[in-house]
Amino acid sequence: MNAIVNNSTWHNEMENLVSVLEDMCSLTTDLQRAVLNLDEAVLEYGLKKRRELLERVEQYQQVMQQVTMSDEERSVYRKRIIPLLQSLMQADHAFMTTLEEKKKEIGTILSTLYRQRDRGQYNHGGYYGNQ
Amino acid sequence: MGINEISGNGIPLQRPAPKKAQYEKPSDVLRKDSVELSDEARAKFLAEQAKRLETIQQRIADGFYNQREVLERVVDALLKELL
Repeated sequence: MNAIVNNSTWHNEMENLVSVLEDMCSLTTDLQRAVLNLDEAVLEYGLKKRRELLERVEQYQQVMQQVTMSDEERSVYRKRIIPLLQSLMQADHAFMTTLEEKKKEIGTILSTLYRQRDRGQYNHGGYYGNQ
Repeated sequence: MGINEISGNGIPLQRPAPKKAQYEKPSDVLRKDSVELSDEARAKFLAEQAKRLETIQQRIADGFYNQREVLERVVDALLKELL
C-alpha cells in the first residue's frame, strides 16, 4: 500500500479495514474449530491467512495515522470498528481457551489410561510387556 | 406372591401396558450402535491425538502467539486513532 494517502480514497481503505477485520473474526473461529477437530491442515492454512490479514490491518492502521478525521467521521468508524475489534479479541481468547481445554482433556484421559495400563501390568505379570 | 388389587377397597391394580410395541428389541438396537475399544486401543488413539495436538501447539507457538502480540499492538493503535 502506498504511503501517500488521498483523503478522497481513504474512506475506501476504511471500508476495506472493516471487511478485513470481519474476515479475521471468521478465520479465528475456524482456527478454534480446527483445534477442536485437531485439523492440522486447516490450522496451517488459517494461521498463514491470518498473518496476511494482520499485515493488511497494520497497513490500514498506518493509513489512519496519515489522515485527519473530523469528529463525525471518527464517530462513524468508531461505531463500526470498535465492535469488530472486540469480537476479534474475544475470538482470539476463545481460540486460546479451546486450545488449553483440549490439551487438558487429552492429557487427563491419557494419564488415566496409562495408570490403568500400569496397574494391569502389575496385576497380570507383564501382559503389556509381551505386546 | 402376586398382587392383583389394592387391599381393602377392591380396586384392581392397573399394571402398566407392556412396552414391547414401543421399544422393540432395545438391547439389539443398542448393540448395533455401540463400539468398544480396549483401553490399549484407546490409549494408542489418544497418544496419536496428543502427538497431533503437540504439533498444532508448536505451529501456534511459531505463528499465532507472535501474531497475537502484533494484533494487540495494532488494536491499541487503532483504538487510539478512533477514541
